[in-house]
Amino acid sequence: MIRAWRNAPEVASFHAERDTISAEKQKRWFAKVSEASSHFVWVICCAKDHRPIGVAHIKDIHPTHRRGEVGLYLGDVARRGGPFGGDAFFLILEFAFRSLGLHKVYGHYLHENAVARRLNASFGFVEEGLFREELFYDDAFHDYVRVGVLEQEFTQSAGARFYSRRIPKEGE
Amino acid sequence: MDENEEALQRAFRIGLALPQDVAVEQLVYNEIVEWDSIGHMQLVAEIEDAFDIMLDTDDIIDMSSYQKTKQILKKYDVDFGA
Repeated sequence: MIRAWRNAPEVASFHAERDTISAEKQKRWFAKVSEASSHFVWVICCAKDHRPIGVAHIKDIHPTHRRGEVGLYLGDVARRGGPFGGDAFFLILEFAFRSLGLHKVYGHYLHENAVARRLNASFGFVEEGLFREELFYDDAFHDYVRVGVLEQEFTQSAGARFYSRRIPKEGE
Repeated sequence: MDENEEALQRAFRIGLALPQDVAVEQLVYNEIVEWDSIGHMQLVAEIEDAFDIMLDTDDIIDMSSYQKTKQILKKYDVDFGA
């Protein structure tokens, strides 16, 4: 399921890595992330019908610098444009800052991905760098953006304020 | 302008990241790129902070325009001048 999502053009088109992922490559990836303590992967499921709708990760968690890279996508295209991306992003960031104790979370997206830019900004991410013409596809070079958010910026963001009022904390 | 009206307009401009000169009174959900599901979440956060309230899920879904938002806020004792 994950490989089918990841290889679908409507998902692959948002990723820097666009090569078709073989079953063998996926197995190697799964073995690697299963053993790595610096890498978490989740399948995002809809709370109402429990259907899997996407994938999220935190990777390259650095215990000294207390930072990690976040990413997510919705493989179920019909669920895009609703609240699911925001819901999942909030839970991942809460986990990163509250449970893992990270100080900073960062991510990347293609410069033309306006939805990613707006979703990241709503959780306090700020642009930290622009990798000019970093990627080549569709017969052209494309810019790649790095964004990051500190714990305090996340806590004060509109996204965190919205969700923290609605999602019970552990023990509540 | 009424104080609450001013606060609501400010919440719309901040929540939807709109310039000062945009007239918000006629705004409708999904009719501008800024007011999609992401903008809606930001808007709700700003309105709740502005009026120190917490909106019910049904009201969040019903918030389909600026004018409808005003109607909904009356349920939370946020009054607007005539």
